[in-house]
Amino acid sequence: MKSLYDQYNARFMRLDSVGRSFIYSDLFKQVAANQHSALVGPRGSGKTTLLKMLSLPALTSWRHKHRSELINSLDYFAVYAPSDYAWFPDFRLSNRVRYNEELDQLIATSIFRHHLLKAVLDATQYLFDDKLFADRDLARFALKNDDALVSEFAATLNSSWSLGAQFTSLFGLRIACSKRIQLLQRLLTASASQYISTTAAMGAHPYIADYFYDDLVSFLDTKDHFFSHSPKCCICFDELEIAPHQIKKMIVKSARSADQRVYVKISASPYDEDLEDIYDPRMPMGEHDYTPIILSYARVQDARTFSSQLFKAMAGGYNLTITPRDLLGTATMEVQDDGGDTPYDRPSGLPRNKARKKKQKYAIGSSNQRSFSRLFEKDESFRRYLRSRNIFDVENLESLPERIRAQDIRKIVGTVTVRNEYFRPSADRDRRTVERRLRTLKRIPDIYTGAESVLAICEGNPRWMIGTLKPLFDAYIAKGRSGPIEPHVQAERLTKTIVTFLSLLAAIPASDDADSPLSIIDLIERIGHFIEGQILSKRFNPDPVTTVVVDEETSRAHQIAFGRAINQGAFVLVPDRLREFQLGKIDKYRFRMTHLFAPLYHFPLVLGRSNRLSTILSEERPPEEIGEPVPYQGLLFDVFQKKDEHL
Amino acid sequence: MISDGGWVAFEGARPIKCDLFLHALGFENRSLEFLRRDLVDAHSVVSFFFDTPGVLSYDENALICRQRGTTMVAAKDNARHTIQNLLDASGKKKVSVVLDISSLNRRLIAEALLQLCLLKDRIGSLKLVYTPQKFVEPEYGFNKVGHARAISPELTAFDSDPDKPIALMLGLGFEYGLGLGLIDLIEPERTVCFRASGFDPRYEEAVKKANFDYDFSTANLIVQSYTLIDPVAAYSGLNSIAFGLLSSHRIEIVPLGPKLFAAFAILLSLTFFGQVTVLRVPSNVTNPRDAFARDGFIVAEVKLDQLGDISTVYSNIEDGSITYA
Repeated sequence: MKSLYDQYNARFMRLDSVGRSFIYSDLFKQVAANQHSALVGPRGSGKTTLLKMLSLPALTSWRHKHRSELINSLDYFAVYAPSDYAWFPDFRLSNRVRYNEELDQLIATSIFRHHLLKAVLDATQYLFDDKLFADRDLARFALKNDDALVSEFAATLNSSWSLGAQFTSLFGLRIACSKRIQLLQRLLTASASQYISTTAAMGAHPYIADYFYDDLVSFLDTKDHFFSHSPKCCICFDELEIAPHQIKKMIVKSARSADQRVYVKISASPYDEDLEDIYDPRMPMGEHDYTPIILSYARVQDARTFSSQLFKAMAGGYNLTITPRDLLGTATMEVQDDGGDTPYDRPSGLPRNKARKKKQKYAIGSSNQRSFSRLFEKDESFRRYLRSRNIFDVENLESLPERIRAQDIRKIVGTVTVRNEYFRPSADRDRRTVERRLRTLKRIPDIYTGAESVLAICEGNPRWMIGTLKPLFDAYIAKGRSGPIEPHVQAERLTKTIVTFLSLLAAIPASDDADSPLSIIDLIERIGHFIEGQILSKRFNPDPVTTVVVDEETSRAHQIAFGRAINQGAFVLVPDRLREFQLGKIDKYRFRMTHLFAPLYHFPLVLGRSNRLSTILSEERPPEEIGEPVPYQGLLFDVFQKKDEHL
Repeated sequence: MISDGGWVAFEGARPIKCDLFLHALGFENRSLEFLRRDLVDAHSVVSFFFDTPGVLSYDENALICRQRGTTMVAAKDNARHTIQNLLDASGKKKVSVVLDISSLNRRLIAEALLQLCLLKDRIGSLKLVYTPQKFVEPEYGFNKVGHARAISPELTAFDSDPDKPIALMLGLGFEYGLGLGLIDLIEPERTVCFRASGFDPRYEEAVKKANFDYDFSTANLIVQSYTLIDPVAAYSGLNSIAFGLLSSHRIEIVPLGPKLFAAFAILLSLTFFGQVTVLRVPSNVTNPRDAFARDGFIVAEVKLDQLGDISTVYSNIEDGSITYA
């Protein structure tokens, strides 16, 4: 049986398997709430897992202390409805001239409709399952398995859905849906080679124009008639971003439809060009119809709980009860100020002493103090900055008043750590000398290794965490279960995760215009280079810009490219307490570059000040102190040198 | 299927005799290698030209075509109509065809093979010829790419069971990181990567480098070798793997790497018609480099009778109803 930790992708997992390996978080409670919701997050952030978890097979196999409470709060049963780019004309019809776009859209919508009907049938079939009936918490959703009644039920659906199934059983209806899909796919292929009129097509295939929401309503009417089944139905549309425009519109609109027996939950990427023109006064917007649930963590501490739970589950898969620090050691870099305490070093129940731990972090000989001390020695601008803050003794930082430490020391410690790693004084301040030193580093330095750093870099993204940690767990076992794993091994693993991510980004067009010179990699490079300049410039910057705001001056092309980068996780939404996120739109929102790129662009794992995206992109020359960026291949190939060539 | 074939050295090679010789007129020097060496003895030679005057070897190649009096057809025009017209004009019941795929783009290869398959009753023999280029160390960098789409609507898995998960058959080439990126993008349940081997160790090393030493860190992935200069064995291997995967998967093929692999991918899709999707990933290379022919070519004889009946996918409309051919 496959587990999530084997294949990093919930897409292929059966619903019951998802339930068995599910990591609970309070986020799931939000997702499960009895309302329309929109799960918004980049690839790999767990949207599919969360939606699949709402299904009855997943809930049946799930075991957790919150299980009963959560299930008893549900007033619906869920239908998991996937999406697949291969269903739609844009994928199939390539760059052929479209003879009849109207017909193509109708066929695509009908293909989607039949896939949805299959999903409804699968969910319905499970209502009769003995496992559901035997489950104390879920039994109220179960339907009586009366063969004659089910057959009549299926026959009625067959008629109302115009399926024309040969066998009127739920399974027979499912087969009919599959056959229809194949027929529609053939019709789509035929329409690519010649003009077929919409009228002729509808004459031969009258079901083409049927609307999926009507199907849902007739399903509920039929179910209620035969079984007096009170629970509502929740349709979980996964990967909305894959669907063509007209289907997205229909799905988004469906939350406004009149039937109170239906909830709609959708999973979507943060940015969607198609949704921009869907926003008119009659359309659902924000929390009025969908409650947005953001599946990314702007602040490192927000991801910690989930990350440590996922780590624990992964360790359990290896029959280990180790902590992240057991595996990865302690990070030397301060990963945002969380009060000096993390879940990564507490097996359970040890008392906290926040004040004492905060002070210890700056004790003489601590990694923070040493970073301050070394940078103080070699960086004149840093000395000037500290003097301006009346800090003259970097050996005794712990003796500074807490107020001073908080406002002057703690906020810059990440910047100091990174700058100390990369900054080298140069007698003549020649920029080429400085930047050559930066770019010849062959591997990620130790400041980005250790439990806190590695997990912060993974962003609480299950796919990145599993992809990065699984080989490290393997290495731990191979070492005879003794750790922590050496920093250079961790660094190598992180590099591979970064390279994999860059390869994915490179495979995504920045624009649908084939002649556009824009590339997502170039965009990331420009923003990353800007941020790097903030940290490593000639003059020490205590308040660097590490986030961007998509402003109205940003060109449309850049906005689209930036949006696509967000959708893959290259940039993370920083939620605005005063303004709720609106599905599909990114203008005026604030984003930070993923921590996964911190080792590439040499920035600390903090949330910094913001600047306008148009301003950052308009800088024609890189900061003087940094120099021209080295092309990726110069960096990436170094990583795949043989191991004994590591620094 | 590929019934015969192998490596033929240019030195001492006899001219290729056929009724119809189709090739590309492009900026790659190798695109005119057969004509340059006078190795074509054809009733009709058709040059699909990519209108790129002044780029690399294009002008020299165009001169050869003009001197030979080949029939020039714009590559962006409808290749399928062109092939139909040529067969009609030949006046012969069965026509022997040689398709030089060395410099044809993948879309044109697909269009040509589709049309030849559609008209297979009129094709006496079909040979593919492919001239590998002399090795030049590639520039390893991320190129701008377009959306991965079906190479042709007919070459999609329109008849496959939509419930089946995707199996990706991925040809590996010099395109830096693209293979890994596509695996992440397509999210197949199972992946089989194919790398050409036994031909030029420098080429193999370069492909390995461009694909991160084949360390994809992806579950359910294997890397298979195929011998480029043994097209019979190479195609047979692909065919077997595809056959095995079809029982449980929908197959998508992305034929990066040598064009011969792309041709094999298209033939597979035609063999398992309606079950296999062939994808194309347009790449926008800003500084193209010339490609010079090696000292020989690969020939592959195609048995058309084993390909599917693609006419079944086209429809007729009569009196408002739709019937399928």
